[in-house]
Amino acid sequence: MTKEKGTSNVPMIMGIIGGVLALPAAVCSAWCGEVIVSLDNIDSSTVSDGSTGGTILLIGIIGAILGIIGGSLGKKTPVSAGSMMIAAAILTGWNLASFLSYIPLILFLIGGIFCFVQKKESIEL
Amino acid sequence: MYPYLNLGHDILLPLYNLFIGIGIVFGLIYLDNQIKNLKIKFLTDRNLHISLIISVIIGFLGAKIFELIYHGKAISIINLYSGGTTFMGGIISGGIVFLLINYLLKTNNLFSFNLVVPSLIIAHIFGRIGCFLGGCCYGKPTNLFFGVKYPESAPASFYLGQDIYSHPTQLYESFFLIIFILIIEKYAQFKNKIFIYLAGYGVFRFLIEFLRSDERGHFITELISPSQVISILFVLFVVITILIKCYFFKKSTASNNF
Repeated sequence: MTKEKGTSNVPMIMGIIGGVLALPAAVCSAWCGEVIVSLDNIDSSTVSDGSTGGTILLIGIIGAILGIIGGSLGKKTPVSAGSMMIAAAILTGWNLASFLSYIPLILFLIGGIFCFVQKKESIEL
Repeated sequence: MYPYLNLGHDILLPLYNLFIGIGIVFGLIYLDNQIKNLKIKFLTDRNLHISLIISVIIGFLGAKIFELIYHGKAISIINLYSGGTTFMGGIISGGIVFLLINYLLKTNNLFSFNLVVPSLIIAHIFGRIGCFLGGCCYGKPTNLFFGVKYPESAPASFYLGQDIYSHPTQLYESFFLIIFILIIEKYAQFKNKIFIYLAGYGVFRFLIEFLRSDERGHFITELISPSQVISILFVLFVVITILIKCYFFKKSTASNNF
């Protein structure tokens, strides 16, 4: 039985660097999101319950973890790793309240694309 | 020391996180090379990567939780964000998870631990440089010529005071780890790497803690820092393992003689 294996380190580098940067980006986006909600509600004098920031943060963290897992498996299972990294890019892209989020978004996209287009080799299981 | 890299347009890249990422990348590249050299089967390689990456993620969470426990804080989402991390907590939680996942995936545990030790050290070297740039894990004030002065914004300046030179304990640790990995890779037998790492790092960490000046918290006892307690446990674990091995070796030699 044979299986296709990737040969490039690019997805791993992009996934892990993107993942570790996506975590502070998520915190930053959550904070920015909360500030925007508070400014919107400034006239109605309602206090934000923090749910907007919490949701942004949760999605950002899930994106970061998906990116790290996808990146580290980029050589072993290229197709599923690529799908994970594209999903991570979408989740990170959803949180563009902070400029820092653009960096992991770009890194995850490059890594995800590389997972699919990298040179592959067949190995015997 | 230099916590953020300004990319312009107010985009500040956190260098602590970046260096941890670089460390993990170099660690994984080194692991890949070892796997290639040892001609490890694909399925074992894949299982090892799966268990390793889950352990790293849970290890980071564990590192944060241990830090909260050391400082007697409640384990809550807000505290998890605002709190720091402790390497020893990460090692323990990540190590336990790695052990369990390897057991579930039926991968040889001792072999896996010996395989990942050099990668762990590489990641740790970069992580400590990240600590130095972030201005955390600082040392006690010193007048020695290699003492460092942190910028005003760094936690070290806030707690020690400005214009105070302190021991760059992060760099001491990085330097030690560089020497340590060279020794392990050159002289240690593959089957003993994890034990040499636990004993060697345990002893070093116990000693370097005396030079640390940041808030260490307490665990079990207040006489020594939590990391020193865990260092002692590491060394004890190695000593007990050696004694057990010696006992069984003697027993098997004795039974072979009859």
